[in-house]
Amino acid sequence: MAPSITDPRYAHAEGFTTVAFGRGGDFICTGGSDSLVRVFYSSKAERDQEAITLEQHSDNVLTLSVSRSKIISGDEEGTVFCFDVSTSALAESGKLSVEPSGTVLRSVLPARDISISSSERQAAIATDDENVTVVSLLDMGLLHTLTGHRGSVNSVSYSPDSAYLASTGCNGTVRVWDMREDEPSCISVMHKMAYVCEPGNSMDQSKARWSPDGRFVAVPCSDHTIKLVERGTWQASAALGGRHTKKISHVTWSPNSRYMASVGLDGQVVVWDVAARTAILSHATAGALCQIDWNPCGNMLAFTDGAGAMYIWDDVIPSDQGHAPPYERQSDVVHETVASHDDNDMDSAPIGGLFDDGDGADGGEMDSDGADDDIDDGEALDDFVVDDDGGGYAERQAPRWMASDAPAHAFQPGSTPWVSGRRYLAFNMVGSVVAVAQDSYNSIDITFHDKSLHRDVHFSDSFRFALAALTESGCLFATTTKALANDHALRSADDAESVLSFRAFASWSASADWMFKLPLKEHPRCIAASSHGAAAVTSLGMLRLFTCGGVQRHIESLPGRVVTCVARGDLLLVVLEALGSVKSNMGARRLEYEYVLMTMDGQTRVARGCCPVGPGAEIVWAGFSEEGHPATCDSKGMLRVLHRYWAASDACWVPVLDTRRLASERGNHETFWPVALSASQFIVATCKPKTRFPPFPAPILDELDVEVPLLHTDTSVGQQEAKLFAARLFGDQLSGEAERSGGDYPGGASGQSRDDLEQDKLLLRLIQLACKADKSQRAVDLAQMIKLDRSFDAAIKIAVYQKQTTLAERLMRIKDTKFGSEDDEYDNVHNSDDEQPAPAALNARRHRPPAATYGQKQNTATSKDSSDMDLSEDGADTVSTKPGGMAAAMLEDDGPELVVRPAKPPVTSKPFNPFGVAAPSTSMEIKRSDSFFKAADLHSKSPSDVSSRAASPSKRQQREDGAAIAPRKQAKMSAFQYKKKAPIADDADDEA
Amino acid sequence: MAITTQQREGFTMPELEYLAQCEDVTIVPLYRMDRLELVRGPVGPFRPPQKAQAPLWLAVALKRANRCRIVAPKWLSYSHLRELCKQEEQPESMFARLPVHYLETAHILLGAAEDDIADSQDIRRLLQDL
Repeated sequence: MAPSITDPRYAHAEGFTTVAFGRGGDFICTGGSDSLVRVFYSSKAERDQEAITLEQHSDNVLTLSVSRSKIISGDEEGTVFCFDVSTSALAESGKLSVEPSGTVLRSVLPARDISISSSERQAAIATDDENVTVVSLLDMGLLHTLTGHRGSVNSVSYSPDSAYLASTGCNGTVRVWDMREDEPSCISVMHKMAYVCEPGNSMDQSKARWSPDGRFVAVPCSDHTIKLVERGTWQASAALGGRHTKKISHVTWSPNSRYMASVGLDGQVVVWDVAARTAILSHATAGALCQIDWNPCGNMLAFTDGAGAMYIWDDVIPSDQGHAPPYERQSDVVHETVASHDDNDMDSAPIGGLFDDGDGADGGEMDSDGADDDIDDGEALDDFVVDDDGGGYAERQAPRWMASDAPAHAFQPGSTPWVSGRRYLAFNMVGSVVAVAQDSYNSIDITFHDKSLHRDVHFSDSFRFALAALTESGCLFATTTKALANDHALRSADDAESVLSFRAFASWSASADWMFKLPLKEHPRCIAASSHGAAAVTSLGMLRLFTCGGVQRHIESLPGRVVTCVARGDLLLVVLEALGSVKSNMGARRLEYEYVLMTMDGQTRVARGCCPVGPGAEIVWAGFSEEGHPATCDSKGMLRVLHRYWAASDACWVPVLDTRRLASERGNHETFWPVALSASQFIVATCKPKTRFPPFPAPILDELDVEVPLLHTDTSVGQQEAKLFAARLFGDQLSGEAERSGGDYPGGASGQSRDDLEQDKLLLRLIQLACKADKSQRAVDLAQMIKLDRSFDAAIKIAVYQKQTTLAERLMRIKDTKFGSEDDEYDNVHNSDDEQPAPAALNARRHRPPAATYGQKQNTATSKDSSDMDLSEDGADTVSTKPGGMAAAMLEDDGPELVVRPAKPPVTSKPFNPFGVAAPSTSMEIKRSDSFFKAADLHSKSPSDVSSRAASPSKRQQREDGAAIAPRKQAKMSAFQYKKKAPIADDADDEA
Repeated sequence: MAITTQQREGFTMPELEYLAQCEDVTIVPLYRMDRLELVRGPVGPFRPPQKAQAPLWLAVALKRANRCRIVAPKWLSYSHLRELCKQEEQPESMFARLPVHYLETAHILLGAAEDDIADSQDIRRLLQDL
């Protein structure tokens, strides 16, 4: 059967042409010597459509690598670009959207090969300058430079779990690097194994590739065979050969690692059965072939030749001739796991799960049948049994290394990568630290937001500091190995010492600056500083704590790899990578984090536990709010605060703002770069679309109001509830932190009462809404949360206005139980003959001081009150509409009307007490001064009137007769009546 | 009565500018300052780098003393003004919606805080087109 290979499609000009499939198998990328990258659809129907052309490169495109959402391409002048691919757009509109997203690397020499780690967090780039460069794709920062090859490096390939990296050099050396450590190390070198290639000649390179199951590296070798280097032993365990007659330029694995395809300069495409070690198919073309790639989700090959043409080979493996398909559905894997289960019970069960997901990672989107694997079970099982026995290939004794994960990327909150020779080392509410790259040194600019704090600092830095932590009292700097590795003079000295240096801004002591040299092989990963000292976490997992003056106070070993750390006051938050990594069912690796909150002296662990992130998200920022909440922001834009950390076991992470949703609501693709959390506002630098980092000079910061993602926040009730939740959250934090540190509530007792009142205001508004909607239980629930008894009275009044008499009654009872004891106590002291705790407003009326002690305003209010009283006592219906209207108007008013001002007590010398046990004269005086309580008073003065007005006129008549009133109520009313008529002399007694 | 023709015709430009100075603008203070109790109401407190609202006259005074940066109002941006210009160019369109004292405010801001406003030259040009 003739292979169904398409006619050459001349995608590029003559010269080396590279090709790669999209991870979903839905598109093919090619790059060629016309410096273009083209993206073709791979399906037969759409294959002939016009390609998407990307014109960012300005020199021959030599390499392409495609991951789930990225295309990374490198060219001959050493520029490596990244493009974002949106597969969702393909699903929705049938159009693929490819957008350039930035420059990954600018190397001096040509980029030969790129490999993206499975987590899409790192890319390894082979260039002609003897190094493999590992770049973080999160912030395009340089992570590692792997040195060791002599001569150009011509290929790199990550193992599927990103634990290892294989690279080959032009001199035939194969090296394997362990990427799990903070500093990757070369764990195996195989000399003179691969082809010796002519450096700089694009057509004369050959590339090694890791198999999708992670067991082998396929290395094209100088005897025109493909050697399979086994993982773990790092020995060539098998060779596939005898077909190619010239150099093999490229190999590719089928998605399930059963087959391999290779192309060579002899123009042959050979398809190998790996288990049987034999070639099963071949196809010869006229010219030398450059690259080949297997569709990760199908039975399809794409290869390119030196004339710039691309060929597509459909239905490569003739499955009707007894060959297993080159890709498998998830069901196959499940079965293989079950089959091997007998052999090694202990190992295979958890590993099977890993395998399952591992395949999902490669071809997660590959086929929709993945979900209904039960249906496919039968046929899949048949295939698998046959092949399994044949090659001895199926010992699925997956080694332990499958569980390992690529190391998390430690970061410093508020730092950015280098952008055109500048970067922010730190950016917080104090100021910013900017490093500017110079020839042989960096210059550092420290700029303060508050110019009155310190004079801006500028100095030149010969250490090339890469980390900085800025506080009001000083700035801590540290170097890392990365910075040193870039420095050619120091590169040979891999064991250069790292430096930790503190620079004090203003101090009474003469030389407050200090500096430490760290031991060899120990480098700071992240640092933190506060007014209580400084902290550094190093690559050896050591947490070193210093005082501000540079005393080494504490050292300890942390259990996991550090992600970031940040300090405020006497607290230090360290975020660590959790020990176990969990894979989600999408196949994407999920990072888990742990946090440790400790004091800066290292003596006390305040709280510790897991640090949640959204699915597939990573922590990108950590900090403390102005109130002292530890906070994190993940890459999905969710801001969380660690609440109740002061009560260690109750500590929980509360999501307070979803910036991603906010950005999408604003609709203009802006991204927010977190800076700080301050007084329920998230302070961010708004970045233009497509950029993720703030520009230079420092932009004006924006404030996003915290919006707790409660339900129904689009309704006014939901909004109020979210506001209330946030207010309570931050109020609790302030009092909790004050309790923990033994300090005062910010603003003292009056500050606390003001905050309590703010919360009660929100509650009252909600109660008002609940009453309007006739939701009495809701109102009761809300009333339970009220803190001040004054506010509780207001709630009762609201219930009365809203004609919810049963509710009002219930609230009274709640109030009795909640504040009753306090009131009793008070009443016993001041008014022994008053058995019934009465609403403060009533007390207030009773204790009205002489008008002469009040200002004009109070005077008029009083006189107006009394006139109102007269009217209502006359039973005039005209009044009945007025108070309700007033109350409504007041409640809608956000203004200061509702704020009870702690006004000066006029006669008594009692200080203002915020906790609801205020002396009546004081509280009354306060109430007099605001319209709400005025209106409220008017009603409470004679509840019988109010309730009767609330009822229909006929009922009112009845009530005035006292017939329809419940006995309990009647008793209450009589108490009211009594109080109302209490003689002025009583007041005078109290005043005295 | 001895008034000039100018006065009879209405306010002069300086007078209008004087009136416009009561409008609030957003500033980024560079110095920490407590609440200012002014006759028109409290201003501040200023806590750099958080934004604050201040009357234009205060903002200009602070800017002159290099104690704040003025945040250009939303409408005073090149893209927004260009949109408005385009709108006005269409037949039967009314005047574009802008704040009452937009011309005066813009003039003051461009005079006092040109460095804080992006594309100030283009904005000047567009303001004349409006």
